[in-house]
Amino acid sequence: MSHETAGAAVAPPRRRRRAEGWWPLVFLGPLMIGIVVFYFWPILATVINSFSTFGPFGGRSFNGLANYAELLTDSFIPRAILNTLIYTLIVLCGIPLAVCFASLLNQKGLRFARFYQVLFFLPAVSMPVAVALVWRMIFNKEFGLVNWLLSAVGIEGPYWVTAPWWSLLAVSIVGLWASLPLAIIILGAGLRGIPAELYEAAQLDGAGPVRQFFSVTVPLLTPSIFFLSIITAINGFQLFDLLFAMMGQANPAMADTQSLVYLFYSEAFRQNNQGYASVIALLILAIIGLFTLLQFRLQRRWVHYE
Amino acid sequence: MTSRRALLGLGGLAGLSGAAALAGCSSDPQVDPALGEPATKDTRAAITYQIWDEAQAPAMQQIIDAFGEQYPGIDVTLTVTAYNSYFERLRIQATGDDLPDVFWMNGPNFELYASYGKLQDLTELEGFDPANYPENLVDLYTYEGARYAIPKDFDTIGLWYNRELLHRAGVDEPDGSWSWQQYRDASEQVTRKLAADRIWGNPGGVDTQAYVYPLALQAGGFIISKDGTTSGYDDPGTIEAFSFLRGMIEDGIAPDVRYTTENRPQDLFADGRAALLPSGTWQAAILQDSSVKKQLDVAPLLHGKQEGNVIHGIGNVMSARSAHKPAASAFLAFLGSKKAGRIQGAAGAANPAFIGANGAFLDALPDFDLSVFIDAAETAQPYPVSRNTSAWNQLEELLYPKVIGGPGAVEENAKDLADRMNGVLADES
Repeated sequence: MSHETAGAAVAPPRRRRRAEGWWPLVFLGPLMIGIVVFYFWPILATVINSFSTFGPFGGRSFNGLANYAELLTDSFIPRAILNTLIYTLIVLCGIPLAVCFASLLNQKGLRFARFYQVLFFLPAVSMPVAVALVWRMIFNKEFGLVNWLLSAVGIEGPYWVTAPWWSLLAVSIVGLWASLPLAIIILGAGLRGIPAELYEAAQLDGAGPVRQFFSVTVPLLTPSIFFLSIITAINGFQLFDLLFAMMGQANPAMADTQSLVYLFYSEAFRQNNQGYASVIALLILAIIGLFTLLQFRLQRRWVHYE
Repeated sequence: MTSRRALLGLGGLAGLSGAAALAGCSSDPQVDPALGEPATKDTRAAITYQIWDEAQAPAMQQIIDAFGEQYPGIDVTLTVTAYNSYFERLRIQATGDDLPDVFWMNGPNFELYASYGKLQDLTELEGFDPANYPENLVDLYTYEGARYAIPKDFDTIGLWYNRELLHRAGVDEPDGSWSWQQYRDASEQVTRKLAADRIWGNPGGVDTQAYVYPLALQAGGFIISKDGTTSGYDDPGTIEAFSFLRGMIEDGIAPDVRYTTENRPQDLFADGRAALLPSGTWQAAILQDSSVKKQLDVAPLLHGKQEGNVIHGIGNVMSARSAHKPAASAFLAFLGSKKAGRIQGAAGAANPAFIGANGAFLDALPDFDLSVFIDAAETAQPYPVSRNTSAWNQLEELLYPKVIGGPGAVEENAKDLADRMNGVLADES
């Protein structure tokens, strides 16, 4: 594995060094233009916008730090940060689950393996809003499947979608469920990259399946797990469509279940307040940046690159 | 394994995409405010007409066809955009100076467009006589003394009821004189008597236009002050209306807000699971398809300390930047005519705003006594609006359920809503 890349680095092609000066630009140029126009410019524009106030039909005037001051006094913000964090943490819990599912699916000699793989990947190819609406029915207080199952064991289920906290839990469960397919695919690829010799060696040393799982599979999967935790956390912080579709309109729990991106949406598109919305967007960026940085710091302790 | 670098790169890109947001800018050069000469029979032009209701598209096309007989040279193209994205789209069109020549406007969005000069002043339009339409509706579309829209249709609020359910509970049908207390008592009796069938006296809910606005007005409260600068949500009258609704929920007469979020009041009523529903003209077309249609009818709304009803209607407007103002003027005048009113009334989709053209609408939906809504128009107040109505409409949507359903005291939650709304209103000036 790693010696392949090392080998490539040892023998660099020397002859056409001069030509390398501009050829790569020709190939990379179009891509770079796209990245600059569609990624860097919007970020820069967001920063500029955060110091501005807008007319509903365009027209900008700078208003200094007023939008940032509004952020500090907006009483929706702390709850939105908390909601977003809780959601992200719950969805991150899906990764251990995905590790289990992926290793079960990748067992040698598993019958109907393809069928199961399709089954587990289905959430990823379903339309998110349609999925959210189906889950909304599943969580219905009166007729929902969840409360029906709970009533079978004598528990009266809550208003999953319309009571504060429960609604966040319900949305998080669906978010977790929806994050599994991609995780299972990526972990599956990681699993197939683990050399069979390691398992043979472990077996010779007397390790059972459980010991093999924890001492061989999990450590060698850590790069994939790390990648997944980054992606999942970023997606988690961007919670919006699921929340929007599952909660519906005039929901009494909405005021206590708003996520940061939901606040961004309502400021930018409902309240015509793009300047303040830009500040919220930057706040989301900062939180994602910090969280990702933290993950990179921590990965030195637990991720094995071998 | 190359995974580390590749994975990090991917992670970085994903992070970047999360930060991408929107930017927009535009300028606003002078617009010629003159309406110009109206079109003649020989005028040749192509104009666009944008609406948001698919159900009304056939009637609108009939009107366009009838217009085409009078002005064969003017070609009108109808576009339908779903209501949910209509005003987002319209704002983009306005920002890009690409508004349709003629389009539908509603009360909450009107002032925004009028105050930014996006709409053509129609005060001088030939064939537009404001006396032909309910006065409070013309007022809704008047900005700084100028009239910008020709009312197309209107809704007011009445008390829909289910004869059969009231009868089973031993309650008399509403006769148009009901007080709040009578409404509450009737609701209670139905809810208690028919509890075994899980039928409600009234299906509760948190509707603005159909429920809270009229009740607040009846209790002497208001939604927004006449000058459009102050929220009325901390007014004692408005709070009384909220408390009335909260009281029925707390006493188990009306369903909880959490329940009505999952089971919409209008659905409960249309399914025969609720006996009384204060709602608007628009219910007629919906209830026409109800399985319990034969048991339904409508009576005048409740009465409080004072009369209170809310009128709203769609307005037909012209873009201030239309390149074909003569043709658009002719089309608008036709849209506002009695003939056009009759066509849309006969289609049963909307109650025409033209006074005297309602007969066609009443005949189109003969099962219900819709004259109730037309009578209510005389005293109804215009729908409450300000320049940036959608901003506080969103606060209403977010906080009504809490005010009406809890947690927290009605007064406190209403005060919170009022404070936030005042903040939004302060940003308007």
